[in-house]
Amino acid sequence: MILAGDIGKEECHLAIYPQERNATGPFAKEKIDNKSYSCLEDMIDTFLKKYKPPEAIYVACFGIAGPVISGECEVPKLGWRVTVANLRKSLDCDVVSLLNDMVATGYAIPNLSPQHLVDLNPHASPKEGNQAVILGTGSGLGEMLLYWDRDTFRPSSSEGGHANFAPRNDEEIDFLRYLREKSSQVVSWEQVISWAGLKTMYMFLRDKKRMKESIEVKNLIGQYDLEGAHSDEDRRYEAIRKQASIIVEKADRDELCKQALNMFMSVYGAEAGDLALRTLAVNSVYVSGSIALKILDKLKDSNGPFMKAFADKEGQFAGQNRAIPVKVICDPEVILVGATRQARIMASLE
Amino acid sequence: MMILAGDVGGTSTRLGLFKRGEGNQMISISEQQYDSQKAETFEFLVRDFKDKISQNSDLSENDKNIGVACFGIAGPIKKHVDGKSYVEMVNVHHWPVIEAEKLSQSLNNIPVTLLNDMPAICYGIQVLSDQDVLILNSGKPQAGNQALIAAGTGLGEAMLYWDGKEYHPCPSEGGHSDFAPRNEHEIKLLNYLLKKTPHVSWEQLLSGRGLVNIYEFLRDSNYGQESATLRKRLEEAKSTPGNEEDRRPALISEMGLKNQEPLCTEALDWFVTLYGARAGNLALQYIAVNGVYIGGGIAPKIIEKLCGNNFIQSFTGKEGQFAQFTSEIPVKVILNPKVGLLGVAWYAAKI
Repeated sequence: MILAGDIGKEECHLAIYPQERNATGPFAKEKIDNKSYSCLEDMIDTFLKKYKPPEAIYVACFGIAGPVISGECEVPKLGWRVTVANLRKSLDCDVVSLLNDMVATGYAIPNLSPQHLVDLNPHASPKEGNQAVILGTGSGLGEMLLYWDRDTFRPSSSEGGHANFAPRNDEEIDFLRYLREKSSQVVSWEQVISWAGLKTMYMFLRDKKRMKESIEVKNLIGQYDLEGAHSDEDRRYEAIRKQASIIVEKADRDELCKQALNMFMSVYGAEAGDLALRTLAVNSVYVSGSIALKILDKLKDSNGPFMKAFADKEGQFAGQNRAIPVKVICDPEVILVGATRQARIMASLE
Repeated sequence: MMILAGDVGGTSTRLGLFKRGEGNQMISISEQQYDSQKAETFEFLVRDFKDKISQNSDLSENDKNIGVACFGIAGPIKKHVDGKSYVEMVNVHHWPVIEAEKLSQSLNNIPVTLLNDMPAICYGIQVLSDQDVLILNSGKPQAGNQALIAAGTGLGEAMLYWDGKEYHPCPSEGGHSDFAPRNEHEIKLLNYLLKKTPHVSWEQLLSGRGLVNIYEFLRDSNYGQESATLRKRLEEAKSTPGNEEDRRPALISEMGLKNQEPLCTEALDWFVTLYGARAGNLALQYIAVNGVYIGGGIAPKIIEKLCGNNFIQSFTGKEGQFAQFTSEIPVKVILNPKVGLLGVAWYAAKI
């Protein structure tokens, strides 16, 4: 049997599949809350005992929300230390792989069904070549390249989210200044393309660009201000995520929210476009993660700020980017799909 | 089997006859450098080199037996519908399109491959020896990707993807991505350039033209005074309609290195600082834990400046843990101007 999993910060999604060449549905699949377990091995053990797979686990692969270095990963905020060596022992299985969630997303792409891909670029004409993925989770910005070696796509992850933010006009330059005054000297893309980034854009437009704030939104956002200044990082993030969600939800009726979201989408599109340039991702660019799902309706507008900024590059590169298919991954199980595909590859089934 | 290799640039073209030595080593048998602008066509150069080899009495008959040819060319490699490749050399206006098939015909129908010049340098990196590079940061190299950044006429960038056994060059157009200023001074530079052009890419700063852009910004923004002599010399160094090279970047770096003109020294310092910042971004973007290589024509000319603090400070000036991450990445300047030629020869030897 094949065991695959998506190891998240709050919950895990585990699945067992029969080891057959024709991909079939899972033998068992469950979402499990992390809180009840002290380690991943215990959770898997309970899961296997519950469903009793008729054959032993031959191959296992997990996508995990953290950096994987030499087969080991410390999941941020969870306190679990997941290692290939421990999993091998507890599963009594030699073929175990641990993928960073970004890499797992990359592996998933060929197996995603068309209904889970939303096309953002009606002018696209895909060429043979590389693909790229930009993944905004709200707290982190992941990027990756899928290098086309003329036979297969080889995933290569990136820390591009920590490279310097590049403003493109007066407003974005003022925003960079605002961020530098407010918090940090070094401003990365992750600080801008995140829920905190969207909230800061709202405050910037209000405080520096003198846009009028409605009482309604002010009160809605204000109820989380105290929590947003909490010393606990998780609680602070959760409050900021809620505030950013309010900005997204009110964007249709509130001018300040609308402008903040437009600015956010424009910056997001600009970095996605730069990612396409530096990875020569002429085959496709995929947008993944919870941010994209939350603002999907707005992203879909092919004349909107995201796609406009994506193609707004110098000289011939405007045309080059305009021809790249850009797709939002809407499969909530994308990491599990990627882990499963990699497990099948390791079992020589794909 | 002998290899004919070429590094074809807008200014000069190097052709060489190679054979494979021990391991990765490529042994050069004969080499010749040509002025690209003075040559009628590229084929003409290839025929000239081939004739010189056949007439060279020092070479054995075996050494004259060219079995394969490969050329690294500063231009995008394109393919006809029949799959045969060709390149249009934008920097040598009077050359007709370079066709792989025609070159093969003039070389007794041996296989001919055309490569872009950036992958050629990437392959060359794999055969460089210690004396071909200067180490700016020794770091702690790990098995993994490498990155190449090469400022010259333009800004070339590439990722070298490590598959666990060997490196695959992944070309990039990252030089055309948006410039990221990091402080009030650099914001002023961006503002200055945005008044002249709608897009400010990294190439507009990290290239020969970029050095001029930085210089003009400093001059026009009261960072210093331009002397009357320098003004005159810069005016004379401008490119003329007769397709002559812009000599201003060379003049600015020369004056800057000699500390003869404070404004030129300042411009060079800025250039090096920005070069480090971009190289650091590349290290993050490509997770180049095995090393970042600085290629291109400018680096060897300003090596003293690159060795100073500015470059490495901005290379490692990243947020949080990534300051440490970048400080562990080896950074090396490619000193050997034949890296492209070596790479082409090595690539040809592999195929």
